[in-house]
Amino acid sequence: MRRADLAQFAEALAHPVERFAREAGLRLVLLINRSGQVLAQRGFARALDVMGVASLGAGIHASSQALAELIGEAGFRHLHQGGTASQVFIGPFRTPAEDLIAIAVFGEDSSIGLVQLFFATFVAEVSALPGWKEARPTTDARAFEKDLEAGLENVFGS
Amino acid sequence: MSGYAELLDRVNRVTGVRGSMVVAVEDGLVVAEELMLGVPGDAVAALVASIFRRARRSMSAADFGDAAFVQVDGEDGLLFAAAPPQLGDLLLVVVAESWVNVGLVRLEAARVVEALGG
Amino acid sequence: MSASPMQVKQWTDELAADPASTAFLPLARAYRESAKREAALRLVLRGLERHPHHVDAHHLLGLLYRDAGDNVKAADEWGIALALAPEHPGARREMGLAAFARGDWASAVKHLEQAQANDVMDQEVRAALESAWQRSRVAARAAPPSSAPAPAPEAPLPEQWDGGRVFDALAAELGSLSQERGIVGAVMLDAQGFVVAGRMGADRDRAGEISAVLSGASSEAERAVRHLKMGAWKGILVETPRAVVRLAPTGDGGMVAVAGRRDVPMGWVLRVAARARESAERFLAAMGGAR
Repeated sequence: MRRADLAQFAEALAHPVERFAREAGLRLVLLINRSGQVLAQRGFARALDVMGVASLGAGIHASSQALAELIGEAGFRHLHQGGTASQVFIGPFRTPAEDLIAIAVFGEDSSIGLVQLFFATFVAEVSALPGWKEARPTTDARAFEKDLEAGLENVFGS
Repeated sequence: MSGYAELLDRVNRVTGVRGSMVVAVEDGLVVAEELMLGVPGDAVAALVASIFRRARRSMSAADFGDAAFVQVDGEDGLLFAAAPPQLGDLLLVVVAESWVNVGLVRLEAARVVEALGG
Repeated sequence: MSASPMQVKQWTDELAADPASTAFLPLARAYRESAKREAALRLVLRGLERHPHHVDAHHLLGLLYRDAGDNVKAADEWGIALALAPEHPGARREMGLAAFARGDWASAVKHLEQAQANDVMDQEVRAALESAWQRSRVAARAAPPSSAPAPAPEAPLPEQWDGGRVFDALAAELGSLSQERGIVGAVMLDAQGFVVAGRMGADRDRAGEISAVLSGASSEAERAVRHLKMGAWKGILVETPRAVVRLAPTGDGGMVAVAGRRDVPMGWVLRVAARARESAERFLAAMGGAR
């Protein structure tokens, strides 16, 4: 289910995302929901990169979720991929309103231990925000897509 | 009790020590820990390892060699991290009260490190 | 924030449904990033009609005016944003860079110092600030002494700034400490990691090289003791096979660093570091008064 009320609440995510990035020493952070909607980001230079990381991260999360279920787990707490210069952390978490996925990229200024530590704080902060601390009305995908028919001319009116 | 735990217990006998742990320096994750109730091991491991890595880079930039020991003094507590060659990529981390006998902690830590290397 | 096409569609839809929605702002940002500046400008102007005190909208409008080459209008908008919210980081940054671009070094330093405090990682601000500092000093030295008597001031002149003498005292004290037995360097860094005074290194001065790495130690120590509820951080001691280094915080969020050879007693290095910190605090206190 896609959120139709994000513009109202998404700006409130900026502070927790910024703090998570600063405290955990992250290079990039992306917060998406399970529908693939980008809720917040920090560190990306191009929209194209945001979309790429969001789609790949959501795909990795879906695959790992399927693997977890295959071996009898409800899900994994997080995923961590370590590279030579950069590492990726994918942390799914549940808020009262919806399930979210944080994707974080970090380098030598941080560690998986630090990211885990401040991820817990980040989850608590987001879960307490208006828009996520309680279930919100959503529109189904078909209605949403229909709504998207409105074009720029509708904005400016006549 | 693991081999590490037995050795950590020796450090913890020093009055004022609230716990000690073996930590992976690159990951900031706990390998072994013997901590008093209320000491957040995961947080100590991540934060101390991060400070140690920073200190190591600073010392390298200054051409002072590899950092082997780091001590962080807080108003209400002390953190120690020792990285002797015997431990490879691991740190011995000690959490203590601010009034602890630092020399005694360092001495006991050195003994533990020696034992770990042997 | 870079927007996805999905978000753009969503904001468009929201604004179409509710012309009073503040979705005009992220949508205008998205249009600006897509080089559709005319559409962005129309959106912001229309949004400001309904939300005349929207700080971020004034900031964005300033950016759009600047994009169009109208620096005067741009500065007006950022000025409005700062009047509405003096702490607004974006408006402060742009005001600083605009002052720098027109060669108003004093104004540039004033705004950019705050902008740098808002984001210490902003390299563009840092470069402009360093340049503005240097140019403002050069300009001050190059100002010809007036032979004619100064006009009588209408208001009492502020006390003459005496920062140079205060700095000289700090530099001399840190220099003297660096010469103490077994000490290989004593340096003061400010909160942004700039070297204020001193030197570090046995053979050549490495203060500049290590300052960037060392400056992060302060925030790391602060973060650790805060998270672990250990009060304020009082110092960091680092030992290597060749050196003992003591870091101690200063009142401005910066620190002093003192390094000694490994063969001198640690207690001696700690005492020299305590003296370096006292020098730094005297400097900060004097600078606070030397205005």
